[in-house]
Amino acid sequence: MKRSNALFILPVVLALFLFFFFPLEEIIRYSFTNARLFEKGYSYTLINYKMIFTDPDFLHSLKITVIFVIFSVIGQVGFGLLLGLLFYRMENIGLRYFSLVTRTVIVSAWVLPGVAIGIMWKLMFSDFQFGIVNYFLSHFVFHKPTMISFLSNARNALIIVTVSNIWRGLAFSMLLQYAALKQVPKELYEVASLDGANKLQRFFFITLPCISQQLLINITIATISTFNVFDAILSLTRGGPGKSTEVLSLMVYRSVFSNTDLSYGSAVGVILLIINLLISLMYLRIIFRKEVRA
Amino acid sequence: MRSSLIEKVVLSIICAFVFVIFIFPLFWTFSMSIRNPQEVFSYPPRLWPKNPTFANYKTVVLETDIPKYFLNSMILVLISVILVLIISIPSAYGLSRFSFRISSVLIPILLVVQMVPGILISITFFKYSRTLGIYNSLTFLSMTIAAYRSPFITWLLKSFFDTIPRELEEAAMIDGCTRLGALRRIFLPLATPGIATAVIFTSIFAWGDFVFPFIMIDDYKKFPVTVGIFAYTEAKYQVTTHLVATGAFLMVIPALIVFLLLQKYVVEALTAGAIKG
Repeated sequence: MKRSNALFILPVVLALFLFFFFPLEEIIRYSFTNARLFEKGYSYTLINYKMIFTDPDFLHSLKITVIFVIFSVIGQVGFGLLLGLLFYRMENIGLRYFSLVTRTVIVSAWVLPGVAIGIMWKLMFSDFQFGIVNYFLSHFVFHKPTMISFLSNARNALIIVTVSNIWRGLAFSMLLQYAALKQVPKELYEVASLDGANKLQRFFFITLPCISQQLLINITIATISTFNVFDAILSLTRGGPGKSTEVLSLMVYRSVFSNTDLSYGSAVGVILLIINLLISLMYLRIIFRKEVRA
Repeated sequence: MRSSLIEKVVLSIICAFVFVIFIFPLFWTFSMSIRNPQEVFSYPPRLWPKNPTFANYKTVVLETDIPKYFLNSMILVLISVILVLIISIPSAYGLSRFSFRISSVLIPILLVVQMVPGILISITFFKYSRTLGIYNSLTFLSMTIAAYRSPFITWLLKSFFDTIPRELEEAAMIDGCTRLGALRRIFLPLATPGIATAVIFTSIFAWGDFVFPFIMIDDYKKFPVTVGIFAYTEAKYQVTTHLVATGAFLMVIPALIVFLLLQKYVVEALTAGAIKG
């Protein structure tokens, strides 16, 4: 093989080194120092990692992030599967057009900038009386004036942030599950019906095993993208009220830029990176196992 | 027969409910954007304003910097797309046509690095920005966005290029074409759908990108639309809700238009990382 052929892949290798490996190497290095954002000198130390696991802010942020991720992923994958089933069934009973229109609307949520999503949800869930959701609840659900503090109450804010993230990520899960469901051979259902299997049995013994691969891929990708959400939460709650929706990516931002504590923020970032790396390895295992089997 | 009618009705109701949940945030944002400031805060809130007006749009276009932010975002999208193609097309072609010793390591890495949080990368560039002259530079920002998306795009294009038979280029080369000539005349025309997917994917992400410009730009004249409108939500001493709604709605329109016109490619880009192994 000609050596000059290597020139073809040079651009992406350069991009990887200059825009991924170099910045990450710097972040890892900073995490072992006492560097401040606007100061030049620093010395190497392990203090950040000694502090981090007893820092109530970090432990709180980690806890919030894990709750946010677990419920987001359950919601995205669970509702994604339900919607996939809904659209699959609708196609079969002659509601093709309605299903197509609704799918289009769901996918359109995915192309919206995260900041815009945060702003749109903030407009709907305003705590004040002119908030449309509060008004809706007062009139149609509770039948009395209701003013729920959606975004100024710690627990509610986390719920809204999670629900908005499910809303945003549902397009991906729905498309994936819908495509997977269409791949399940129809003959399997027919044979099972002849053998007297009911709907539930067909779902658990045919559908689920056939789409398990896609479910696993869906779970890993949804997990990683939820760990990295930044823009939508910042524009919806700014991590507040207090620090009640300050997930790890926002804590990195606050530590580095608001507290100018470059080294500590980097250490938080390194932990976020390690979590992502572990889940990515799972994702690779699934993807490449699939390739071997196919 | 009757049970199937009941099923149709029940599924249609569920579907309508889902439809409303997904269209409502957009609808509400638009509805807020066509109100005057008094009606934004009036009680009871109405789904559709009593006196719809496009005055906010006029204000936004004539009296704010939002048009400038739009222009910046368009420049950002344009440069990012060009750069992504410059990085990814040759790289994907190389990985698809030749077997390098590092391919088996490089290909999984292309997939893994898209999980690196943008905030981490931007911190390093912020730290070096003044000495390197990259702070407040739209060009460097475009480079960062392009480089950040290029591994995934390279991988996406590689799996697309794998489906184009290499015999076509080889035949052209036997007939006297150079490799680059064969690439340009034979290969690229066939690769157009894959490249279109890459362009749309990059455009959507470059348009919506927030974290890189948020960290790497603080000159408001250079804000892209995401950071610019976010800055409006931070204005503490001014009531800007109606303008923020207007800005947010304007910001989503280009993304929605691209999506509606080129749905097929968007869906392909969205599911590519998961369905193809």
